[in-house]
Amino acid sequence: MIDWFLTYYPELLKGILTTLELLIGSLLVGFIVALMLASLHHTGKKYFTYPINTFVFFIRSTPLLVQLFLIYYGAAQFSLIRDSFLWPFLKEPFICALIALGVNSAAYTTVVLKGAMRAVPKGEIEAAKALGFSPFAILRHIILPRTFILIWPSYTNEMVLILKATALASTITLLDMMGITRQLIAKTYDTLTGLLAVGLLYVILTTLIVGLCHLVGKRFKRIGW
Amino acid sequence: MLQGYLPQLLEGALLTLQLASGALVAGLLLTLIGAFLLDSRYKILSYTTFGFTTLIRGLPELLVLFTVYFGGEIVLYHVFQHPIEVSNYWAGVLALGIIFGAYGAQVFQQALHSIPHGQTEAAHALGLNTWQCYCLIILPQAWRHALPSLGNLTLILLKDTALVSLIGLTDLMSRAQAAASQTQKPFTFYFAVAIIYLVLTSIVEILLHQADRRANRHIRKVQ
Amino acid sequence: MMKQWVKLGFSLLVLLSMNVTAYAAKTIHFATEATYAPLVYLDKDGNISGFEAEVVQALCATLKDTTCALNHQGWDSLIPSLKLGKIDAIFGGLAITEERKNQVAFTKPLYPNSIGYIVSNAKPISFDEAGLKDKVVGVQLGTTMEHYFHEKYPDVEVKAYASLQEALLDIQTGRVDTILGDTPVLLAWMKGKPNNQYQIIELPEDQLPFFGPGNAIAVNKKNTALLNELNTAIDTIKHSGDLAKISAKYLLNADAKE
Repeated sequence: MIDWFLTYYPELLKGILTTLELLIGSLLVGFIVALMLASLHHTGKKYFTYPINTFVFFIRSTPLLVQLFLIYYGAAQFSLIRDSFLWPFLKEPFICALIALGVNSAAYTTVVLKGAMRAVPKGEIEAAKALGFSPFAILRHIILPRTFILIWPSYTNEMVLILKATALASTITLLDMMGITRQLIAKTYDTLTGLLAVGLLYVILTTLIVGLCHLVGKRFKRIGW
Repeated sequence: MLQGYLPQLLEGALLTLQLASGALVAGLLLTLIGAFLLDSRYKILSYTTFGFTTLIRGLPELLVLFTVYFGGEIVLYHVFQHPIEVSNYWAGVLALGIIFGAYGAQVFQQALHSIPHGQTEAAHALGLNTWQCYCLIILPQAWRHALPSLGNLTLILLKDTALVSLIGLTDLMSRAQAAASQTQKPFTFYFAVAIIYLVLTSIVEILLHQADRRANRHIRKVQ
Repeated sequence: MMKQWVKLGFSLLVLLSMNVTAYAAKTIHFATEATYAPLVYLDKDGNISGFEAEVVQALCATLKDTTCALNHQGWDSLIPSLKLGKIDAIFGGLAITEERKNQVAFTKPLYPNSIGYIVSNAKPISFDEAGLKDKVVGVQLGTTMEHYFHEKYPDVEVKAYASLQEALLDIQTGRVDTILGDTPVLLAWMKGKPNNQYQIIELPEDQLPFFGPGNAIAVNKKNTALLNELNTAIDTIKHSGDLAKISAKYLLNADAKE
């Protein structure tokens, strides 16, 4: 297996870069969208909560593979999309994977953020209102900082889940770690070595992510939240 | 609307359900065994099990599926010294079951820990042996704690069945792919698949909700 | 009472999950990726049909006391499954190549290669180094076509798809500019499209040797018995004219050059 690695590591490296780009991109997109959705949901207004709940329900009830194929192959079916300004973006498997994973992450993170926002002590919000904070200022200074700390362990889990989900992007021809490995396996017919090698890479990445998040979590504790 | 492909899609959905049932049975068995091993007195057993479950949890499901599919026979051959055929159906069941079991074992272990030790002591005091204590006293109580997480894992299992289309099983997803290629209407068919999965997961969620209510029926509600 | 329900539910789950197939006296397990009309494909009822499927059935008919089971699985799992002994033979647009000969044993060729590019008439391409330079070419992962591009035009962007059908979806949307594949398959796909939207440019004769002597059936290297059986059967159906009949039905020229 060592010589397999040594022979093919340049191509694997390209794959690792793509995987990391997809991971970070999806997490960013997902978090920003989730933040907006959770904040809107927090207002309690029905015209926010109903569509948001429907959105979360749809995403959580369908497999990611189906969502990926819907965006990559499905969207391309319509000439309306192909002739629009969106096409240069939707043409690329990376963008389609980014959208699918970002939306997926947004749905799950919204639920986590919703719960955490509710857990912020009511007393602090009332005190802030008494002091004349605007709703937006309350969100920014009181609710969100507390929320971030509360969700940190769940979000670490979410990061690992998205990393594992990036492997599915190989099914829409994206050459991430899994995609490159499948190509190399098709070339060398050495299935198990390839699978073991890429498995090792995923384990290393997962360990790094969990380790880094653990350190950040300890930092939060030190600040005194 | 589906151009006559609906029967094929439903056949695929049937295979998906069969696969999910088999994987659920395998997964629950592995969960119980795994939870038992994790709490074992023998450190080597508990550490190995912990290492194995953490490893599986850190790998993409796609990778576990491929490895079980391609590597399963090799491992079985080495273990049993006799070629054993593993069809892609059973590879799918096994792979999904292992994934379920890896998460389930750790979840169930936590549920077991939430049972006060006094229960075990009382059971022993009443003359029950370890096996009876486990089955009659501990398991039913731990079940209530574990149900939400295990339920969540079941839903994930149902969705992960879509992956077996990548090892050539003619499940729902695979039928949709064939139909999409033949009609050049991928959106129609993948959307139909999404709706079918929506219906299936909703049914499972309702069942889980009922199971949850039943498991908690003896708990006094706070007024 | 509750325990009864649990037991019932559990046994129902186990029963539901049983997916057992019956086996005949002696069965040869053939496998292919049946997404390759008209060579192999799944018909409306989910059975494997097509030119090569019929050829395999004809071969089986000449073998005594044998049934042939045809199964569908993913293309890139075919050779690994064969090596592991999960299946006995693979077929379906499988070209004989030197690398594959290292992994598996091939029967005599069933029919020669017929390879070409499919390209949209709205955006024609000249198929040489200069013309292909900034184009995207679609191929199926793990095929001789993919290998051809890596060897001959290493600087051209190649997208490898798990199945040729996915590549064909993408040529419609312009994600790939052309696809290199087996001409019968490309022709069959073109039939469903409005006239003059696409055309097929056959690969020049001098390029064909790269792709080997033709398409054949592959068996495990250790299975010399099956290999000999199949080779004898191939000779039988060639001499009896059955092979010619089936290939005429599918409008393919199957006079393989020995």
